[in-house]
Amino acid sequence: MSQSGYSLSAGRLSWENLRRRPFRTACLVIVVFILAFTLFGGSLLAASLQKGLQSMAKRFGADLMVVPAGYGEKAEGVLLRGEPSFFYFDGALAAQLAEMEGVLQASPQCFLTSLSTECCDAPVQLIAFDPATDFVIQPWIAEDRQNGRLGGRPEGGLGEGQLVVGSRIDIRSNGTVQLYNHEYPVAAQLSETATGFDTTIFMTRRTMDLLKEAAHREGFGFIADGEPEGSVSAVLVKAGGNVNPNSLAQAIKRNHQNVDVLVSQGILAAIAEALEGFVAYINSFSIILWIVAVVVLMAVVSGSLNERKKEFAILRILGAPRKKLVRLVLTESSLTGLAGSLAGLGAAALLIFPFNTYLSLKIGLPYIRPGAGGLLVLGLVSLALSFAAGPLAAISSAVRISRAETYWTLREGE
Amino acid sequence: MKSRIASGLTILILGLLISLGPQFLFKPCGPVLAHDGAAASWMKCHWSVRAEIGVGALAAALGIGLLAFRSRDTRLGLWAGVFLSGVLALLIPHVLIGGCAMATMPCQALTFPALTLLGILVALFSGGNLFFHFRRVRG
Repeated sequence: MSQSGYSLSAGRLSWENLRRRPFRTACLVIVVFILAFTLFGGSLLAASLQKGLQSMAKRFGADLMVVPAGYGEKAEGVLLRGEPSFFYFDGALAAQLAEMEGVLQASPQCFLTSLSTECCDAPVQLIAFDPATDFVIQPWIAEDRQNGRLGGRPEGGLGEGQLVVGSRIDIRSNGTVQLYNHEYPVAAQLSETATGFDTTIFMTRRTMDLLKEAAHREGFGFIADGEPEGSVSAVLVKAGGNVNPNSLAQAIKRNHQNVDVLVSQGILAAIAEALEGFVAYINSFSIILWIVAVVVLMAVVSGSLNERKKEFAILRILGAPRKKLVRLVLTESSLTGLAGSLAGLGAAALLIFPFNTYLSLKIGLPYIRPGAGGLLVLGLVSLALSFAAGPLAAISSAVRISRAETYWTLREGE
Repeated sequence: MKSRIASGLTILILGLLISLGPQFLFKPCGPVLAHDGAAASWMKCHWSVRAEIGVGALAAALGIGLLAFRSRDTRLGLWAGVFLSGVLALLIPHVLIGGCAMATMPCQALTFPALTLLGILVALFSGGNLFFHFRRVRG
């Protein structure tokens, strides 16, 4: 025990050294802070985008989406970004496509949009599907129910007047959604997909007819009112096992001049390509930053230890073994590393978590934040990598200073 | 002296950002338009942002107080006020008034996250200073 009443342990000495040199300490902490911020922020973005793409690929379900000619871009807006839209063509096309060679399944869908003042404070896409032929929405509901995501929602098919809503649709406390001044019960809320489906309300064709009838009674009119009976907005097509979706799309275009065909493989490939470039950029930037941070820390630690040579020589004279000097330097760098890493992780979380939706809208790529387990792994890996930079950069200087000859070090400069 | 000016200025700037940010930098959703294009009604986020003007102005005024007053007791009281205004800035969009229902609306995507971040910064910064001043005044 020293006279001041506390032990001169490596931890105590390191803490006092850091406290008495606030500028140097702040510089070291800031370098690690930037590293931790970039590592956690970058890896979180990359993981969210990859999860978004996986979810999108899983939920597309159909190989092709056939829409009226000239509406391909609008249909892509509905599909990817949930931009409400409506367009119609002859419903008989669904049956014709189902008969076509190479088509395994074909199911029509009909689009409407909600009013802006009800339900979700903005117009949302309403999609009616045909339960008899649907191969996209119902398997998705079944899968979510199997995974326990639908809680106590009723079993079985979608009843008359019932809705299935996307993950970002706000459900009233009584379990309903208001559309055209009428309340409709929500049978299920689907899991997040990072597509336009998250802001879409699904129903059967029968429910959409009932909704339109109720809306007519309230004095609302629809563009679809002028369309012939049985008009649809899109036909989803699943290609047969060995059929190339691109060839099938060309065949459909050849047989039907008045349609556009969206190929989901093509849409996904374009997104995957953009995502690949973005993730590669994040990864290379993180690696370069880590190397730069280690080099900067090495330079700062080496310079600062050179200035403190005599301090270490005195410690040696006071009886501190060489190992204790190494421990002292490593403890200092560990403390600055830990402080910088925790602050960097916290700042990245504070900035990225609240702006989740804004980031996904700005990036324009599917974005789903990883779950708690994934976040924990990303946080721990980023913490370990940024924390390790400090001791790693200090170790060579620490060994060098511990090996210095005490007598000559003290006499240096005389 | 330096820290008094720095902390007062920080709160003044954060208060002004809470108050004026949603008006100019991170705007909420616009009005719901009637068929003739006139503004028919405002959504909840509009009123949240209006309330934040007052809360932000209060924080900024307390920041000016922190610049002006040296007395430890007075500063303790000012920091307590700043802390509560930070908490209030957080509660208005999330609990007390709220905003539009859909997560992709401008208020939910940008305005409220920005106000959340500013509210957290004000609460953390003032909470730390409150603790520090409380210990000094008591001890």
